[in-house]
Order: sequence, then C-alpha cells, then structure tokens
Amino acid sequence: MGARVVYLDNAATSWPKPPCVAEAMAAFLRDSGGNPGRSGHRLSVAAGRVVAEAREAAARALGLSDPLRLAFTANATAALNVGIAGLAGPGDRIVVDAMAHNACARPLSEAARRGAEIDWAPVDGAGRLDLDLLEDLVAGRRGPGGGPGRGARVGRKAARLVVLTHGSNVSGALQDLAAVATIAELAGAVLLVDAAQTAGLEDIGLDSLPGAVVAFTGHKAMLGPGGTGGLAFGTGVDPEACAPLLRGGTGSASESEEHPAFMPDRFEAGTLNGPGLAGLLSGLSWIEASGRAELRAAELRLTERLAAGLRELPGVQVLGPRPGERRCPVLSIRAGLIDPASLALALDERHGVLCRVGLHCAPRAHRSLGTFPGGAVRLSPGPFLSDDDIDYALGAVEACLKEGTSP
Amino acid sequence: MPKRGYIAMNASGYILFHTSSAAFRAERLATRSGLAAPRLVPTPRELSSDCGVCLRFEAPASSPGEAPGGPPADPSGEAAARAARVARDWLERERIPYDQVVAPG
Repeated sequence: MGARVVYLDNAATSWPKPPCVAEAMAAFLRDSGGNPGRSGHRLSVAAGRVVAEAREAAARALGLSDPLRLAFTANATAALNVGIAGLAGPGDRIVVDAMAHNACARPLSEAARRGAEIDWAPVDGAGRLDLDLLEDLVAGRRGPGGGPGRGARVGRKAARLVVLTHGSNVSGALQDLAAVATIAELAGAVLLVDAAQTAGLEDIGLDSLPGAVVAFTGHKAMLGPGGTGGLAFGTGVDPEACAPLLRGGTGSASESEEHPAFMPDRFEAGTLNGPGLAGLLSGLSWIEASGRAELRAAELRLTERLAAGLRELPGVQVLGPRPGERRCPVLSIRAGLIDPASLALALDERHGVLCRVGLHCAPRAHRSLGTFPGGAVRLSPGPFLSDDDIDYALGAVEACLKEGTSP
Repeated sequence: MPKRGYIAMNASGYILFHTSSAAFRAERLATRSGLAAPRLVPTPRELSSDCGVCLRFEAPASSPGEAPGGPPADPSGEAAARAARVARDWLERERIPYDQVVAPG
C-alpha cells in the first residue's frame, strides 16, 4: 500500500488543522509569550489581546454577542463538569438524553451520588430524541420508563437542569436545539448543551437561547488545538449562580483571598492556554474566511456520500440518521460479526484509512443504538477531505470485508 | 483622583475594570467610544492594588470625539467631567462591566 492517509477521525479531533493554526501558535510563543491578563507590559498585553480576540471569535461561532459571557476551559469535559456540578445540586432532578458522552454521564453519576436525581430521556434507533417524551419527562408529568416505552404518568417536580448532546459522537444524530431549549424553558430548567461535536460547524444561536449554557471544545469542528474549550452562558442564566470547580489566581481582585464572582474570571483560575487560544483564534478565523455554512454543507455532503456507499456494501449496517435527515458529519457502522477493532486495524494498516473503534466514551449511546458492548467503527469526515478520499475509504472498507480482517 | 501615597503621573482619565478581559474588550471597541486617545496601560498603583491593565483616556480641550493627539488635556472643570460622562455612557452602551471611571485631572 502507498503512503496515502485518509483521516476519518475528526469526531475525536480534527486533523489536519488549517496551516495557519500551527503558525499562530508558534507566533504566540515567539512574539507574544507573556501571561495574558497578568501584567501590564507589552508582552502580557499582546497575549491578552490574542485571548480577547479568541474570546470574541468563539462567541461569534456560538452566536453569542457578549463575549464576556464566555469563559475558556481546558476542554468541553471541564466545561461540562462545571455546568453539571454548578447548575444543579442535591435534591434537584436532571434530565439527560440517552446519547450522552461520558463527559456528561460521569459527572452526572457523581451528581447522583451527591443527591441529584438523574432521568434518562430515551432516543430512537438512530439516536434522535422523542421530543414529546422529553417534554413530559422534563416537566415531571411522566417517569423515565424502561427502554423506549413511555414511563408511568406521575406528578413530580420539574427538572432543574436538562443536559443535551447536541450532536452524537456515535451516530451523528443532531437534536433540535431550539425545540429542546423551549421545553427546558417552559419547565423553568436550565439547558446545558454538550456542543463538542457541533460548535464551530452548526448554528448554535446562543443569543436566541437565553436559558442555555453551552459547553464546547476547540479542537474538533473549531479546528483549534487540544487543550482549548469553554463554557458560554445565555443571557437568562446568571453565571454567578454556577459555582466554579477551580479557584485561584485570575489577575483580578488580587487583594482578596476569595475567588471573584464576575465573568469570565469566575471560571478561569490559573494561567490560560495562550498558545492554544492563539491556535483556536486562527482556526476560527479560517472557518469565518471559508464560510461556516459552506464548510458544513461540504462535510455533510461527504458524510452522505460515505453513508450511501457503505449502505451498498453487503452486511454493513450504518447507524444513525437516514439519508437527508438532520445530522452532523459523524457515522458509525457494524459489519455483521466482524470485530470492529479488527476492521479498524485492517483499514489503518492496509489502506491508511484512520477511524475510531469501540464505544467512543459513550456506552449509553451504544446501548441506545443496540451496539453495546461490541461497539462500532466510527467514520467522521473533516473539511480537508475530497470525494476521492471518501471513495478511496469506501473501497478500503469493501476490500477489508472481502479479504477478511484476520492478520 | 484617589491618592494612596503615590504621585499621579499625569492628568489622564482612567477606566478601571474588575477583569482584564473587560479591559481588552473595551480596548477592542474603543474606536467607537468617543474618548480621546484611549489606550490600554498598566493600572496606576495609586488607583488600584490590582496587577492588571486599565484604559487611559484624555480630556479633550473641546468637544468629545475629537481626534486623538489634539491639544493637551484640560485637567480641570467641564472637559474632564464631560470626558468621564462620555466614558460611562459608552461603557453602558457596549455593556462592558467596569469598576470605576476616574475623571481626568
């Protein structure tokens, strides 16, 4: 096999990044390496300006007009941990969709240990929420039920927090964010959105979702480096009502040994990832210059091409939305009794097609899709792939299935 | 201007912020502030014990919005008060949270 590599693991992290990203990170380290927001000298100010620009660009990407409602964190996981621990407490009820990643599920397990009540909202075989069921569950009109069926009619208190996986990292199912926000708002609940797979690519429109808080990562669709992400508050949610998980130096209110309540310092204890945020700014700028809608359309077209080709292969089951349905550029496959790990290994070693195998840190999602515990092979296109790359990957899957995947 | 045992360096006005993030936001929007010669500078020790930055501005000799680099500031009276008012109005308009506006002089 030649040295061709077709990277279909953009749902794990996007690669390659636009060339300007690495250049911006190197330039930050070389030219503006002060500590952002910690001093008044020129290098600190230069670093602070980069962070300020990155904050504005990230807010624009989320449809948030006030960048000071956005705090940077190390990643989406850190942001989700803050949101889950800070927006609900013991005795509160939390409703979460059954496609949740462990970045939500594990903090929710901890919240349950501390006395919160967790209800899982069921999804269909493609990973899509039943919005009527969700509404009843959030309002407290029904219990969670078992499996896909409706739970018993009950009269319970409304949920305090709704946690939503905007785009599934397994099936690519894309939930109706505005509809879920309305459901949460009607029940008086805050909506915490896991936008790890969607921020940077999909329209979030946070200005029009006042009751929502969005957790995002910088290293996937935003095309930045790892170690970047954040938490952004809609205008109807008071960040001061959300306790931080970390407290420490912020360069502000230095005379006090109490951690500041104001944004964004409330969630930004410790030195920010300056080089990473310089890269994130560069990635977001590249997206703005290229056109976010155009990039999304191109990636979705590649995803549909991939899905269509895979569906034609005998024995291959494509998980997720049907052709033309709303989705993000992620899909997973099962190939009969073939072990997903051996298929992924053969794709990599024989063809240079890189994908992600296993449970994708989302056991609940695989249970929902009927692929637990065996897992699946996930293929997720990115902005630098062509039709030819997709066709090459399809040919590689077909060859592996024909040849068998034994070493 | 509050004094804490340090000597004021000049007769500029200052906008102090709780967080440097707000200061940088202000700097990015300062071109539409109507303030004269707005500039991000280290916060003078006499104004705050914080280690961060603030936005310095001058009191224009005549009307607000006059081009930066004009005549030297009128450190007393109406021009200073007017510049401080311009600063506050602008901060409210842009919804930039701030700690205080220190009028020039």
